[in-house]
Amino acid sequence: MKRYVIKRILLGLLTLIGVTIVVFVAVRLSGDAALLLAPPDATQAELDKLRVELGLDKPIPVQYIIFIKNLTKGDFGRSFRYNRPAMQLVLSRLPATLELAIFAFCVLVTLGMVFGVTSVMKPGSWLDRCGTVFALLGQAMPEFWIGIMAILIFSVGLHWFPTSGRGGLSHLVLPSMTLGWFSAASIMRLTRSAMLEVMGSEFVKMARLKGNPEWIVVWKHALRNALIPVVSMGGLQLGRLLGGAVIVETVFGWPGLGQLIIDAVYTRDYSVVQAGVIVTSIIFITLNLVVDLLYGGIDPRIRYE
Amino acid sequence: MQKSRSSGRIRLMHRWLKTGGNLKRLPIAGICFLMPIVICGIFGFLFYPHPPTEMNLGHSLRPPAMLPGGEWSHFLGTDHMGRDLLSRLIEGARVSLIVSIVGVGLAGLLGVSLGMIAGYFGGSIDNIIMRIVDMMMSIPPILMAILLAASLGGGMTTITLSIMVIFWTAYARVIRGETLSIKQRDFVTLAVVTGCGRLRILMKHIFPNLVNTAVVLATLQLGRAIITEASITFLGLGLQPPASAWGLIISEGRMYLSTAWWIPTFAGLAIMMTVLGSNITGDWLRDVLDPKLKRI
Amino acid sequence: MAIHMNQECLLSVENLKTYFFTRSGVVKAVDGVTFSVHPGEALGIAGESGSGKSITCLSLVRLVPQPAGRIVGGKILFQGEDLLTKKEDEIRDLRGKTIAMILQDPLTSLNPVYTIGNQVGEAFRLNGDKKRETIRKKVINILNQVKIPSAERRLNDYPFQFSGGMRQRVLAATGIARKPKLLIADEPTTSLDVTIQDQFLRLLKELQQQTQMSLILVTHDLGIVAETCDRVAVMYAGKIVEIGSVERVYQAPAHPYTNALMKALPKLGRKNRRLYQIEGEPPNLHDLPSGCSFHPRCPTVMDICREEYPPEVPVSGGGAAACWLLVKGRS
Repeated sequence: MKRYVIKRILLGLLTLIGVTIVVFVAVRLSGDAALLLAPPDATQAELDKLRVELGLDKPIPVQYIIFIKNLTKGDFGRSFRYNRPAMQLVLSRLPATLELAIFAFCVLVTLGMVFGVTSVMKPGSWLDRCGTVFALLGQAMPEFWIGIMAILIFSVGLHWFPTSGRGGLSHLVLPSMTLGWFSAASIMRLTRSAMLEVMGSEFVKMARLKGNPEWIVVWKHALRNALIPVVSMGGLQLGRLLGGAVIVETVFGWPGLGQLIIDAVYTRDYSVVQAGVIVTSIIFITLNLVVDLLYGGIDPRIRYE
Repeated sequence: MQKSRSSGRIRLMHRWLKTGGNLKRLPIAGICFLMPIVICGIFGFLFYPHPPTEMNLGHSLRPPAMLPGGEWSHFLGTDHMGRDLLSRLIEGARVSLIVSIVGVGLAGLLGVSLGMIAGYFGGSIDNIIMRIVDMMMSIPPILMAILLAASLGGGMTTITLSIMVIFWTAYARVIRGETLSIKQRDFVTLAVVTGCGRLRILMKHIFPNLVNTAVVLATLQLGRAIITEASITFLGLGLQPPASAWGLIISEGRMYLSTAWWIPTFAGLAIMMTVLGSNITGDWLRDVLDPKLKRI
Repeated sequence: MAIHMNQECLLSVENLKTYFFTRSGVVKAVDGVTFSVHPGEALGIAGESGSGKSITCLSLVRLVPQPAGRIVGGKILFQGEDLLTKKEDEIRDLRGKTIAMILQDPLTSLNPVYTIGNQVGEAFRLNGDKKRETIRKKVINILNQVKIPSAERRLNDYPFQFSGGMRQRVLAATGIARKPKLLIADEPTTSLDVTIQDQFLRLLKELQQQTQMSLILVTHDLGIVAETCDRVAVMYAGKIVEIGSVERVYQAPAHPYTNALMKALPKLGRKNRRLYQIEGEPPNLHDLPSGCSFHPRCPTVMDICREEYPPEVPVSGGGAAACWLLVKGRS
């Protein structure tokens, strides 16, 4: 078990380094990194100073080392718009996004799983049919549109929820439903198909032969085996949620990291973009690590390899 | 001896014919949704009610024909610049489809090649390619697109590139797995034993058996690509005004949500129809060609 | 079959019919099967794949794969009561407790994510035991009974950590844990090596004798039947073609199919002879031949065999067979 954990952590670190490489490369793609990272009104002298700082006159590997060294010091550049270090800015907006993403994940993913299992237990029932429609629609509509329609119907039309901003539970409902619908749909479909497959296994038959009531056969024996691919996908969906938060925050005016990044792109405050992407990736990688460890908890075969 | 499944498409035909060409087997709903969009995409320019870029500020923000204040010449109403919404939506079909299809196609090329190489050669090549896949998958898709757009500017090329960069990883993983299992099969061993060169084995024996999976994956990805493109365009980082992209129509229409709700609503319905059609067709194709992909 | 009916029967199956309703037609997997099992007796059900052996057993516990499969007729009298008229929860009560069944492949029959202590213990929990300590002791006890070494240490191990033979014993343990009156073993040795097979069969026989449990052993291997069973029923295309004591059937098979099976068994001492092969192909259950299903492959086929299915008639020496050759007046 220990070997498995250590291996996973090392892989995570490796992936993190990879992400920094991707960000590094992306910035350089624009041609002149200094131009990108400096405020739009920078003078030639300031630009030159920045070039030296970034080591743009040096070979690429050296530039990368400078980049990494700065990162480890916590220096992700400076936001010229807010006149603060980019990292500090990013961290201040992080809790809002996490709140949204985690709420959406918990509520909707649970919903998806439950829908998935019950639709297998009672195929053809109205619950099953509802679930299928829910899943089909959820995977066909872009989040930003769901959000706009939700605002149109529930805020402007019915006045049930506020149209934007962060606050209590009522502010959380519409954005998290919007954010989570696609993920819930994917999870539901996967749970359903994984369950169907597992329900046909020999050991499920054996569980019935032993005299177990049907609900134990489904919830104890079948589900845990079906969860294996579902947990994998759960991790993937979390990543999607973190990314999708950008759009949902924009539509609902939610003051989180996503909106910060988008604003930074519009105002060409690129260091913030850089910082935001890296932080989000760190969170994603950590979450995936947690998922991998959970995986080992569910399926003993993984642990003992 | 297992036989090489060379032509998935012929199998598809055989199966369909065996059921007596039973219409029930076809994904009617999917085709119904998708056909109009595809027709608009290819032939739309033949039947715009109005040129999509024609502005008529006197007629701006008119509601759809059925509602009071609407006109039949502007069946779905007009936007804030007086442009006919229906025409813009038809034009949008073309734009969205082109970007998504090309993007997914390029992603497929890249992903399938790398996946095959990783699966077939194994060892450190496999490791390196898979680590790269892990890395790319660790950046949430939208953020990847934002990163690229910020660096390279908006526009059609950037967004197509973004889609390629975002979607190739799924192919690589799946195809690698497929390649690994095909590699074990008898006909491949036979080819090796008779001295076939590695490239020849890859192209002649392994690749044809991957085609089914790749095609199914492509159709499944198409819907997501369309949504991704629309989302990025909505954020202003994809196609730029005055293009008639669905994402743009929605973001422009957002301003007028309470007064001209039809603008974002119909545009979104267009997206939904396309993606729904593509998803349903993709699911059907998967069930027929390669059911084990149900896990995706 | 009046000959077999007597008050002491534990299980008496009469004219059981289980059909599968598929898009390409009705498959008569079990078509009028009649047999009985006495307390303490071991009955072997032998036949090729597709002969209906497994579905017969699943029908006994009413776990026929749905929705395509359905028991459409017959009676299953267990200790005098017809199981087909009972409610679902009454049957569920029976399963595992009174009638137990173990399946063919021990790797897929055990849940990979739970320890074997958990899975064997489940049987006791279903019996009503609640205390963990009691259950644990009973599990160790029964694992010892099926001769699993170091049972106590292995309670927390998972199925994939056991060898095939051990897994099969664990499966057997779950089967006998609640001391059922009848144990059905569906091809229990098919996935095992030959030497392990032997050990396992001997174990089954021992367990059976210890507890006076009845055993139904389903297999395609006639050698196993000879070693382990008292009586044997030979099935072909959904029907029992011959039934009788193992001695009688093996020494004097009455049905041409049984005869062919016996001839096909390789025998020690007979060298340089080609193994006997039954002509023709196994029957297609979607499209069975008219009359007697075996007639296309029968070396002694007669005209009437093509027209009508033969009735089951008693055979001298004990048992019965369904063949026109045996019906008096024709030879």
